[in-house]
Amino acid sequence: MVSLFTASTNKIINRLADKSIRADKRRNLFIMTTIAFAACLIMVLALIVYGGTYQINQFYRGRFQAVVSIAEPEQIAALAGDEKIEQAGLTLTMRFKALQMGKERLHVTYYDETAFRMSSFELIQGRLPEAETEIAIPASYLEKKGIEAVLGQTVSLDLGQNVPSTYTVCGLIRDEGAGYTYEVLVSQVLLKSYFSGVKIPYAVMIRMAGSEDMEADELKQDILACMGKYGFDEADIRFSSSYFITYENVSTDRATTLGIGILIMIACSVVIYSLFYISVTGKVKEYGRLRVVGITQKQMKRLIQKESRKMSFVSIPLGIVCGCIIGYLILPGGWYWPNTVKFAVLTVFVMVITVRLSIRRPVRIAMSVSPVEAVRITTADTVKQGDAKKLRRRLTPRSLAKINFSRNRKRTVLTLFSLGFTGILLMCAAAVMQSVDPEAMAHRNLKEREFIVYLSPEEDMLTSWASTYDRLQQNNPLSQDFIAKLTEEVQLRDLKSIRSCQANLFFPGNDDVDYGHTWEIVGLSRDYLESHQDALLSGTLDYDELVENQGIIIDDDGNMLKTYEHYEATVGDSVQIENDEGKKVPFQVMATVHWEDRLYGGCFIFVPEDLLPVIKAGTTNFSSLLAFNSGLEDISQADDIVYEICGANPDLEVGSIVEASAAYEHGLKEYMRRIYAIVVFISIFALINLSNTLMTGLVARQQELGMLRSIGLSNKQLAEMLRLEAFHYVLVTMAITLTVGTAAGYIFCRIFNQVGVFGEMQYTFPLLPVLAFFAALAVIALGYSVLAVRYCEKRTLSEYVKGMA
Amino acid sequence: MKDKKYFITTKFLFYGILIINLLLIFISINRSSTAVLILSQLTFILFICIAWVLIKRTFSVFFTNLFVMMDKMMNRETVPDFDHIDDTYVSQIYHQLNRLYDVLQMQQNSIEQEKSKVQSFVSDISHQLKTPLTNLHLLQEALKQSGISPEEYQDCLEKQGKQLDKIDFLIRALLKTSQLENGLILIQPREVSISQTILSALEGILVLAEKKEIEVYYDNTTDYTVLHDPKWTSEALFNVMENAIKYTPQNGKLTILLSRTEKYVKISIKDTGIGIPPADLSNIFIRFWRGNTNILEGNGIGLYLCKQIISLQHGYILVNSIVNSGSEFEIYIPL
Amino acid sequence: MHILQTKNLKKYYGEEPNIIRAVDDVDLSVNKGEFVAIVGNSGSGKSTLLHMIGGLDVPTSGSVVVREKELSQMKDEELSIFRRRNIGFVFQNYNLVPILNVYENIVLPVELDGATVDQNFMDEVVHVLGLEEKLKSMPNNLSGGQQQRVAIARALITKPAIVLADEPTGNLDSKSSADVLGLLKLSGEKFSQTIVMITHDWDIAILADRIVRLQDGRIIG
Repeated sequence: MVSLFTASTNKIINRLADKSIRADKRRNLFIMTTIAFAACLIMVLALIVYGGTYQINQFYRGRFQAVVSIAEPEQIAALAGDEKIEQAGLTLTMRFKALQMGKERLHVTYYDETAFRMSSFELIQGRLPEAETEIAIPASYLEKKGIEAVLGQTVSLDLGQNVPSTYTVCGLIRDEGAGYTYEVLVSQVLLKSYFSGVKIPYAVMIRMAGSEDMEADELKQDILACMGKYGFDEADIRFSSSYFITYENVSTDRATTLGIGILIMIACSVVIYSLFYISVTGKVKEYGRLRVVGITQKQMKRLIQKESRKMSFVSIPLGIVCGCIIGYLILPGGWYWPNTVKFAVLTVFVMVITVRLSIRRPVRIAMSVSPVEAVRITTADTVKQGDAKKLRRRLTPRSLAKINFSRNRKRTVLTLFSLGFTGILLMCAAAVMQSVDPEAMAHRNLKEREFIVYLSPEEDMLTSWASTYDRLQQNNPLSQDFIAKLTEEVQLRDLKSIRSCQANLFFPGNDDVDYGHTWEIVGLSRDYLESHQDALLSGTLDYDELVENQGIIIDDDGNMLKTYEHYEATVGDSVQIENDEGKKVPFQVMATVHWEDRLYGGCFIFVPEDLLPVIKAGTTNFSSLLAFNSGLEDISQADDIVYEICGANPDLEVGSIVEASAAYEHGLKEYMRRIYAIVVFISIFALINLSNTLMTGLVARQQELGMLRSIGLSNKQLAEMLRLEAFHYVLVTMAITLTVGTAAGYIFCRIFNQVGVFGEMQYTFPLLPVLAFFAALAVIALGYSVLAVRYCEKRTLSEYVKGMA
Repeated sequence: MKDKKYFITTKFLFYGILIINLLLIFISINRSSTAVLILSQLTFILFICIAWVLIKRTFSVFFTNLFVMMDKMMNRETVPDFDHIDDTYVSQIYHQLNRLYDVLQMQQNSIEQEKSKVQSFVSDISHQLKTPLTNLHLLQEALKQSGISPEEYQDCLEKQGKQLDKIDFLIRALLKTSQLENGLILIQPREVSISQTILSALEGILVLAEKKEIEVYYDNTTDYTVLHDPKWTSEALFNVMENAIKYTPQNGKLTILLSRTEKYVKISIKDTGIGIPPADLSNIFIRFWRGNTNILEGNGIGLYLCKQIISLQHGYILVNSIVNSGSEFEIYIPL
Repeated sequence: MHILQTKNLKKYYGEEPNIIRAVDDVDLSVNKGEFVAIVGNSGSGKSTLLHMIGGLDVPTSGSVVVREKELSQMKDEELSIFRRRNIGFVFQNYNLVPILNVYENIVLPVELDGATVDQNFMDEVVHVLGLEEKLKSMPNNLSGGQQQRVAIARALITKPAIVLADEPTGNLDSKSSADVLGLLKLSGEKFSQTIVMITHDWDIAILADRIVRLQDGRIIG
């Protein structure tokens, strides 16, 4: 302390703390375990969450940030020489060929060495192709196709007329094989043959120097500025979507860690509070003795704080080290020393504060012990003042157990609180997990059908998306014949279709910009508008009026327009739509709506279907998406067939419920596993608390139990009494869990429903987890009674009587 | 308490300046401003100066207080209480000084008490001696005179002898007491028969008892072996018995009983004498205390001596007495 | 001069009609250096009175003034420190700290004060009480009598102005009792200590300078 003149009593306080720690080994073991465990959990949590991000970022280190279309391959030299550009690699603006081989799709393209590395590709074996007939191909693709994945393997690929049809594998690319698309690389020689005469659409992959810590927007500006120097403007540059998305993860990381971290802290502090509380209230006599000798309240406080500090001193580092080890084992790729050190320091900080706060109340209690306690003849627990209500009570092991349970309210409440907390957490997590239906989620995304087939033309950077789409729609593969074929093959049923086109839109305020963003414009039938009048928010849904005034309907419930176009839909505004000849056609916003139709999820702009030809004169068939169910018994068979039919056409994309459900379920399982892990860990705190309470109660009551035994309580009865007592805890916990927990779980489901994260959720009662929890508690209760009886048996009766102090 | 106020001020000052300082340093780092850095240094120096002054004042208050306390102590005046009873060294010093003063005062008091006791002893003895000496002188004169009869001569000589005995007795008692006080006499306990000791004491008083026709009763059938110094214990018992006889009128009774309790052997000396008033019961063992001045003999040390002897042997004496009925002295000696 | 004075001291427990008057209006004055013995039957309130004099218990009403300080007006910190420096307490149930050994138990009040132990005095006390061999033992390995002697040593180690002893010779044999009392008296004289002792043993009581008789919470006689 600052007071210069205070007599130093550190030595004696230290000694008392030491001796006290040594004397009460059991309690200390519990406390140190809890602290270490909490520290370990927090470390693991931080390492995994931040480590995951780090791992991803590491992955993107050295990854390309943008692709610039160039005219001549020689232009790359200038870019490579620029000191602001870290790396420049030669590639094509996009794959020049896509092959559908059954379910798999092959994208054939070209990378030079630098570009190859920047695309985060890796060769397991071999090298990049140099000769015309050489290719590099992912090993996992070959394996999937049943071809032996070795160098020198021959593969047949139909790449067109000017080029060979058989190729030799000269390099095996590393690919997890998780997706359905594979990159196949060819040599520059082949390109020349393929594009003979036509300009090869070369592009340069670039990565700016010193760009690791730049903000996304800043980086984009940087790239634009740099490329501007060389005469490349925004149209020539395509930014890497994956690179720029990773930036977003950081803040979610922080939120998650914080959230779970707080849960851990709460659980830990409840247990530590409980442990210290029980310890302090049990040592009242001893503290009284110290008070008699003259220890001041301040010294008492220092004593207990010192005890806790000494224990933390050992257990926190231990926990952190364990956490590091576990974190490393789980996610070796995410290991990053500066992060680890930062987390370690933070964990120490957090744990110290948690412990300090948890013991505040127990310290207060110890401080307030009066010296008179040393001379009082205390009972093991404080009994309420006043006479008993009844003259006689039935005294059987069962009723004794009940009486024992309800004495010392505080201790019981604390233990039940932490157990209940765990139970409720468990219920919430389990309820949410069990209520999520991956299939329902998949359904939702598939417009509530089993299959969707939609137009997805290959991107060509040199042509605008709208034009590409138009071209495709002008020869729309989603024709009647196509539908007929599907009907025949898979018994197509319940067909829903979207009729729409893609066009560039210019919103108010942005009319003079040269390039508008491409949006989907959906055409609606007269019947549809008439039957959905109730979805109108403002304006009119009169079909004829809309046609006459070239009106558009906007459903911006998701605020997409607001976010991306900074436009808020208002009736009366004028919006320009670029037609297929490049002319801007003025339209009027005549209605804002919000319809709940799943079919149009992701569509925001609607016109009466008769206006579609106004926008796209050259298109007759405006089908863009078909959603249908299959009448076949075996859905996976239908799945295969649909894929086969559509696979032939690279401009069609298929979504099937089989794949989607599998994907969701897989993702869900990951989630579930993590959440359950957290709950399990938190429950460990509660179980520690329970064990401690039971054991302390037992030790404190030795004298009483001895007395009971000496007047004739048999071992069996004692065992029954202890077992029932423990079961009271279990019962009350289960009651809390089932009542409050169920309610909380239900509420959580409703909330999640609103947010819509997991799609439609039907509340299901999580039977299995609840049973598991119950089982765990029961095991402890049983174990306790067995061990307790053995413990009691070991001590002779005279020891009981002797142990009076 | 002034110094306590200084403590608290120093504490606040320290924290305040520390925080200000840290803030300034922080700002100076952020703004890269040397001016701010210098400012923080200046505040630090300011703090040191103020702290110096405060600490000096605290010490000076403390030392002044101590000085004042010691002065008052030397002058035997009431000492002011500066102690603010807290966990500081300062408080410890105040406390210890006060205790030291207590101890010294007490020692002083007991010395003075002893001194006055000795003084009164000396004056008493000299007083006592005066009478026999005067008598001796008178007798001497009487003997010098011519024309006294041989019977008168003998009578005078006898009387002189008695006076000399008295002086002798007085001086021996004096010697014994001082020897006992100064530890020159050793109590040498031995495991011997207690009855024997009682008997030897009895021997001494039988003659006296007979003269006054006082009946002495002692049942010596029971005996115990007790760890005691027979010589001195006998002397002690003798003193009590002598007193008993002295204060018992003609034809009285003296009963001596030997018994035992759990831890002690009990010697009961009961007389049928004039008794001791209740108020004087605890006084009789005080040195030179003489209650009933009607009885001219005795000098007030007999019982005191007795108590000393018994105490030194870890025993004790109890007295019961009813006026004009008798007294009972119970002497307990540990087994 | 009164080192200790109680006025109208009362300690009542419970409420009407089941009220217990443990100490019922006690006026007691003790002079500096006196050796007072308090005697009485069990239930006469001796221990309660002693606890209040020692500042361990709070009276229901009345005042306790020790060394010219009114105990009820002292704050907890002050009272604790005052107690450990000025009052040595010997309890009936010893109240040794079980996690410390004998030596540590004895010097505990000194160390809590942050002061230095007077080693010579310590040696002397330990010698007289016959505890030299047991200095490293733990209290629960000692007999009742040994524990009591440790408690006595602890009470004396700070040379307190007042020693309050509750049946200090209760568990001791006669020789040890005599030794203990001799030690108390000697220490009392040497260090100007006032000794207030509760005892039911009349043999011990008469060695005191003054005997106070307590019955039903009141002083009689």
